[in-house]
Amino acid sequence: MTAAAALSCEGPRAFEEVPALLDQAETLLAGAGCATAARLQILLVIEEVVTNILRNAWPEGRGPGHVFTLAIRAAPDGGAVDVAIETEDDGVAFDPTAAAAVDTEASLEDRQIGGLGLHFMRVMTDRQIYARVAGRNRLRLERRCPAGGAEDGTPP
Amino acid sequence: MELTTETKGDVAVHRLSGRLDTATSAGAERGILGPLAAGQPRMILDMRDVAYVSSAGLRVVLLAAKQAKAAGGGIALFGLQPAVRDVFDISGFARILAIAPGEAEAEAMLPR
Repeated sequence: MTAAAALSCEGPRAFEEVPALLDQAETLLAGAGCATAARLQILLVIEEVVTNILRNAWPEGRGPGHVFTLAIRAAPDGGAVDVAIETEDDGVAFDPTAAAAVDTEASLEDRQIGGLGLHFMRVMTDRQIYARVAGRNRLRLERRCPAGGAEDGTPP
Repeated sequence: MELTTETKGDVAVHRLSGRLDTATSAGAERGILGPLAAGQPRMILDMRDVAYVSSAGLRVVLLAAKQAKAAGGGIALFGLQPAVRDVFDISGFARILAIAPGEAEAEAMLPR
């Protein structure tokens, strides 16, 4: 039985720090036994959530004085892995679960460039919980992933 | 991410590898939109070695597709790995972009 794994850290302060975070998260998720396809989707959701905070939370500038924490947990449970991603930041109040949906049926000419990150967050996780608590945004995302082989995503 | 660009006739073939994400999308944007701006609106993206695409990467692909079409050309992709294909499906991009299994099929999908 693969053990539960967790990563709890300061959120990145610059876009250049995001790949290292994704590498850490990938190691954690692979170690917990997440199948490849689901693992990539969770990495993608982490990237979207973190870059969204970096881009929008602090219009005055994102200095080290700001609160931004991130926690990722992966708990194997039978043939699945329960993954939870939590972020907390003291930026501008923003509820990503309430953002307008993108029109994925639009034609190439009409298709808007933005909004996809939040669409991925909603589609690629099972549960999204947002709260504004004491001047902070708290977001929790949950996804139950199939367990699978390290390379091909098929069950072991 | 690595990007190498070949020219086959009047088609720019961009071969990408690695992650197409927040950290690498600016470089990809320069490399892919550059030939477009220089008047070469037909292009192919070789995605065989791309393991990961986020919305930042999709943004570049969508920009390129819009600009290529507006300039009378087009864009076709081939060799998407299954997990990457999922991302194109979920985004709705698989409906509006030409996606082929191989390079010859991709070339055949470009507008003449």
